[in-house]
Amino acid sequence: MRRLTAATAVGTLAIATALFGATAASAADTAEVYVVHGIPDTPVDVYVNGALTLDDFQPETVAGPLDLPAGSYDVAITAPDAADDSSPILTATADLVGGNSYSLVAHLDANGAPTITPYANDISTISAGQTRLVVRHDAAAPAVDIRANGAVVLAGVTNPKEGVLNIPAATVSADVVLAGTDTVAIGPASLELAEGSATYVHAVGSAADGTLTLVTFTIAGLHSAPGGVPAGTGPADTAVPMIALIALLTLGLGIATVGGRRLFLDRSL
Amino acid sequence: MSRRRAATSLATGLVLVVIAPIVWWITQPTPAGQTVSDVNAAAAVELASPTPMFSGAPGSVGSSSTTTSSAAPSPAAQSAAAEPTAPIAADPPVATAPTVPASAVPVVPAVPAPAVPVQIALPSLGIDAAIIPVGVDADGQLEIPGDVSTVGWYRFGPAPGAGTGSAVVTGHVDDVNQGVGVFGRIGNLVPGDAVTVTDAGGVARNFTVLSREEWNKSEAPLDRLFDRAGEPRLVLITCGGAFDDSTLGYDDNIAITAVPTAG
Repeated sequence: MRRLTAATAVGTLAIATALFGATAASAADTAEVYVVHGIPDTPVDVYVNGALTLDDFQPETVAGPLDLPAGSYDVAITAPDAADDSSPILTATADLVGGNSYSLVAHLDANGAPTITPYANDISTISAGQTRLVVRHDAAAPAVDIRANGAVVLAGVTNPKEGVLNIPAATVSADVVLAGTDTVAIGPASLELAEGSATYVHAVGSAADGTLTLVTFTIAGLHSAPGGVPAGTGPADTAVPMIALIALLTLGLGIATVGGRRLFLDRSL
Repeated sequence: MSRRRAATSLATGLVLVVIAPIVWWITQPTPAGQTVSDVNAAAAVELASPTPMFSGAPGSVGSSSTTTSSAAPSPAAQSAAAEPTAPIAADPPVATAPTVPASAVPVVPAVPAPAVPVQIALPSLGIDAAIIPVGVDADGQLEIPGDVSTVGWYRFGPAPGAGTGSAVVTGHVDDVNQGVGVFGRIGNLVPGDAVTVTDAGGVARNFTVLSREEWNKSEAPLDRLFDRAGEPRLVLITCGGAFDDSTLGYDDNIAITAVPTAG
């Protein structure tokens, strides 16, 4: 049985029941963990500190967020029929820092071997009108470029790196191409990138086996308020009054000059 | 020509020179921005969510590499046998601990949103204006409809009628090219005044003014005004206070908070 190790973040037993469907908000002394299954064709069980936490976890799905007290956890992934975690396929240890968000991704490395990669999810607030797109290369495939609406937005991403973009919210057509080429590896897929939300896209599977696909989840509620409300630019400003003023002044000065000059000349005669 | 005529001419000219600037000055349009007193501000504050927005801990969230101390697969793993985990579907799943089927887990439940608002009526001010959706401008500030007779609904926040949060509608107090805007006098609204917002589906929703507030723009509680949680409410925002000729902008913001009319 192969055994890989990775240091990372993940869950506990006692809380396992209450964890799902929790909102993004979390107290400073707990961390949230999303578990992504990116290994094709292999349902698994996930044990946290020895307790079965995710039963029959299906490939290409996401579980979570698990809302866990800060601390260190042992995570083991086993075959779905395992009686306990004594014969894990993969193991990881996780040090969770309170207030943070993590992804624990079981996937293939660039050579096709199963592994676990932990990621810290960037859950900082997002500027008004913007969205955050995070793309992770978790597939048995070479370096890729990520394209949105046909334009490369993240270039040369290699397993297991991630790329982060903060961009105006929109629905984009995204695809994954071999780095530097137009050879589409995955997609295109329509991604609805909502304002104030972070969308985490995982490219998983194996290029050699033709199992490449995208697994995504979203963390909402990262929005912030606009920077201000500039709702006035002043009174209507037209040139007519100024033109009239200048005309009247010119006329007045002219008349006064004529009259004054006559008076002066009369006196001097 | 007589001396009298010359004198009259001189006097008329001088009068024109003096009077014209005065008339010009008097007829200059003044900035429409109001300065109003706060009414019932505390009530508006109470409607906001205790923590207006989710605050992560960005300072300690780094790239994955910062949390990965030994992510590299061990050589042993690389050379392990190629057989994948023995897939045995026939066996009953173990159920020794509380578990949740992973596939049944939605990440974030979506709340159905009310339809897009299209019309707002403020009968006490004789206002009935069209609403268009707005976002933010290139500077990250609220986008204000270019047409001062139209107001904008902040489309990233709740819509009027949503179950929670602050639905924001904004309009120019005035515009240097168009004159006074349709929201130019919302500072005259007082608690109890009616506001009706009609959505694209033809549904009219009635709100009652709760409070009126004005702040210097640097002190406007934007997080509260654009709060997406807390009690459902409608917030009308425009500019007010003194007009700054150098920036062509106003010093203040005026906000009217209204709540759904009971019954």
